[in-house]
Amino acid sequence: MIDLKNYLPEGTRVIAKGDYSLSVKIWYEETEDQTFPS
Amino acid sequence: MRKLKIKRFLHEEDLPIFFFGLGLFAGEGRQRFTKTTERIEFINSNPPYVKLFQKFLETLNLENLIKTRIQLKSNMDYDSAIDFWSKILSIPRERFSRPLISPKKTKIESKIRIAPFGSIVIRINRALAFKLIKYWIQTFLINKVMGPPGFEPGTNRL
Repeated sequence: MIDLKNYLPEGTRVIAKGDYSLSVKIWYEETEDQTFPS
Repeated sequence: MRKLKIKRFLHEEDLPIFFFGLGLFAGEGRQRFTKTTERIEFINSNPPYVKLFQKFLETLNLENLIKTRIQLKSNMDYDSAIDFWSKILSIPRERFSRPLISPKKTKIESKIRIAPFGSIVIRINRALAFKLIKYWIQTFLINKVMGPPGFEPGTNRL
């Protein structure tokens, strides 16, 4: 089993944890130094 | 700031679809956008690939955000095409956006490649979903294929 919470890029964070069967919300904050693969 | 609700835990039975879907998107998904138009966009005429990509999005609980439209040539029958793709994807006809119809192919082009029901566009208008998928693809490539940046190509291949 993979917990996608462990595979989030910098700048994302979990804002509401679901239990083991639920979803997770992710907040993406845009900042100037935010980099993602091009 | 953006937020997105996705499935947190992927179970063993989800993993083949997840990784196949990442590979499919890496090869066939649209990768280039301006910063304000980033989204998931997958255009294909091959039903198994389209169905697989739909299942990939379902493993992430993103299926409710899917928008679909058909792309076809002006000499093709839209009714047949929407019936076909509606059955393939199990999505009602009324949920499809207006089709994108382009001029019909020349005879030479038609002989080269025939997609009798056109292509389907699967789109999710969420930049964060696009960024996550791109990140997972890059993470997979670094961890399983290429190694971390700085390695000479070819020295750390599997």
